[in-house]
Amino acid sequence: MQDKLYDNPEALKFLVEPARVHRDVYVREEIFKLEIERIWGQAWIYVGHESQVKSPGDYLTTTIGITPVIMVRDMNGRDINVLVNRCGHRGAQVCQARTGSADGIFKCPYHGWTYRTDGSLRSQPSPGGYKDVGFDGSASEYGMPRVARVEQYRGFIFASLAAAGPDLVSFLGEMRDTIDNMVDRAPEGEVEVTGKTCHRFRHPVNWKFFTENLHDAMHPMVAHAGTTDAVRQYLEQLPSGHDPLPEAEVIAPFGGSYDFFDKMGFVGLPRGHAYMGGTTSIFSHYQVYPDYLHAMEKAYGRERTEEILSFNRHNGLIYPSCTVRDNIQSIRVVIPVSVNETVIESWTFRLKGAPPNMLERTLRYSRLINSPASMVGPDDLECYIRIQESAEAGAAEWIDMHRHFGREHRDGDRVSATGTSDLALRNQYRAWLEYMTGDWDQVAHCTRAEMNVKR
Amino acid sequence: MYNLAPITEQAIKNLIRLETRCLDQADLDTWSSLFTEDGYYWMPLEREQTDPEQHDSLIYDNRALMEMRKYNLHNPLSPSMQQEVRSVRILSELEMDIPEDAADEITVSASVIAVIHHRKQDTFAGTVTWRLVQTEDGLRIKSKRVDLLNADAPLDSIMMYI
Repeated sequence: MQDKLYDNPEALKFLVEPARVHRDVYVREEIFKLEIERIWGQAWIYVGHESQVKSPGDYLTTTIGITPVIMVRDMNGRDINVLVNRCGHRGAQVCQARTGSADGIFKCPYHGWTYRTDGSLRSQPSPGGYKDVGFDGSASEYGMPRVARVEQYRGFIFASLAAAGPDLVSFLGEMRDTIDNMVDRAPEGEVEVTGKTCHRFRHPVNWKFFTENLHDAMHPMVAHAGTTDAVRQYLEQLPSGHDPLPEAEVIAPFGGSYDFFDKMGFVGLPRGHAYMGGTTSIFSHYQVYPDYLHAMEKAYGRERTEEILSFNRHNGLIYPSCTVRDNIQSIRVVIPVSVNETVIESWTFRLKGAPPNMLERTLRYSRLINSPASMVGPDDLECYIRIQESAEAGAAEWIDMHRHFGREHRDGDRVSATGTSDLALRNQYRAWLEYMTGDWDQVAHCTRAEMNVKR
Repeated sequence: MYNLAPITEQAIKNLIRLETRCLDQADLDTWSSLFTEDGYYWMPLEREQTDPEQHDSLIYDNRALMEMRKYNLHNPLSPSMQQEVRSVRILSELEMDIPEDAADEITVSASVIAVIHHRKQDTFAGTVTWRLVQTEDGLRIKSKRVDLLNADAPLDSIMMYI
C-alpha cells in the first residue's frame, strides 16, 4: 500500500507531462481523494438553479465533490443557503429526499434534533440532558454547517467549500458569457428548470473521462458513426421530398467532418474552463422558429436578437463541475462518486416567454443525446469504459495528448487552437496540476476552521 | 366507414405476447410495425409525469425514432453496439377492462421485469401501460408507457426497449 505516494508536488508533476498524462490520474484512489480535497474542495461547484427553490423552505439535496449538501431557500425568502447535510449530533444525513419543502425545519430522523433553514440548531428532545454538562448548542459544530461560500450568477447557484479564493465572477471569467447567453435567449430574460428531476446517467468510470470528452472533436465522427449512419439509413428509405425531421436536426451534426470541427475552434481559459465554437457550432444549422424569433424581437429589438442568437458556443465547461449548452438550454453536472464512478446529471431549462416548441427541442436534444437510453451517450460511455479498464490493468501506461501540440495561440491567459487540437485536454491538465500542487495547507485549514467557528 | 371488429381478450393477449417476443428476439422491425403510424413508446422520468412534450423523459420515441433505433441496433459503427444486446421480459397477468359496448380503444397494464445483458446483466422493473386501438389491419399499439421503479435514480446505459 503506497497511500502517501502522491501527496507531494513533485510526484504529482510526474503524472502530467506537456503532452501526455499518466494512467494513475484515473485509477489511483489516493489521487481521487486529493482531487476531492484540492479541486472539488476549492473550486466553485454548481449546486442548482434558483427556480428549484422558489418558496421559503424549498430545498434540494446534492453533493459538492463527495460532501452531501442541502440547498435551501431561507425562511426569510431572500437567501439561498447551502448546508452540509449532516446532523450535528451523531452525523447522520438529515435529509434523503431529492427535493421537497422543509416548512422551516429540518429534523434528523435518528434522535430528532431539529435545524432551521440557516442550519442553526433549533431543538433537541428532552433538552435537560444537555444542561450544565458543558454543551453549547449555539456552536456551529452542532448545527448543519453552512458551506464556506455561496454565490449566484443570474440564478445559477455555485458553492465553494474553501473560505478563501476568487469570488464567483472572477472564477467564471469568460464563462459568464455562456450563462448570460442562455438566460438572454429567454424573451423574458429568465430561465427555469423543467420538472423535479433530470437524467442521472451512471458512469462506471473516473469523472475526468467525461470532462475530457467535451471538447474531444476527433471522436464524434467515429464514436457516433453508428447513430448518424442509422439516421442516414432511415432517411434514405423515406419518399423524396419528405418534411425535414427534427430528430435528424439534432443527431446529424454529430457526424460532422474533421474540417467542420476544426473550423469551430477551441478556446481554453484559466482554471480549466473552456468552450468550442463561438461563431459556428453543432447548433449553427438549427431552424429558427418564426414565433420564437418574433417573441425575441419584440423583447430585445432586431439587432440585439441577432446578436444573442448568433452567439454559438458548444459545451461551455465550467471546470470541474458542469458544462453548459446555452443554445439548447441544458446543463450537465458532474458528480464524482469514487475513483471509478461518476454520475452525470442532465438538467433542462425552459426559456420564459418562449413558445413551447423551444422547450420541445430542448427535451428532444436531451432525450436523443444525454439520456442513458439515448443512441449517443452510451457510445461515449463505452469508450470511457474501455480506457478505464486498460488503465486499471496497466495496459495503457500513458494517455497521449499530442495532437496539434505547440500550435496553440496564446493571448494573455487565454489559449486557442484549431477545433481538433488536444489543447482541450492539455488545458484541463494545466489547471488540474495548479489545483493539485497549489499552496493547500492554508486554504484547507481555513475551510475546517470556518466549519467550526461560532456564527 | 368500416365496421371494425370488437376488441377481444384473446386478440389483446396475442398482441402483447407478440410484442414481448419481438423485443426478446431484438426484432425491432416487426416490433415497430405493431404500433400505429402515430404510435409512440414513452419512458418518463417521473412516475406522476403526464406530459412527454414539456418535461424530460428517458425515451419518447415516435415511429421514426423506432426505425432509427432499428438501424442503430448492432450497427458495427457504434462502439457500444459492438457488444450483443440480449434481453428477456416477464410480464404479470394483464389487467384490462373490456367494456360492454364495442369500443375501438382499450387500456391494458402489467408489471414487467426485464433483464438486459450488455457488458453485464441489468434488471429493470416497472409498470407498462398500453393503449391499444382496433384498426382495419387488426389491433395495434397506440402508445406504450413504461414507468421504471427507479426512473429517477442513476441509471446505466439502457440498450433496449423494455
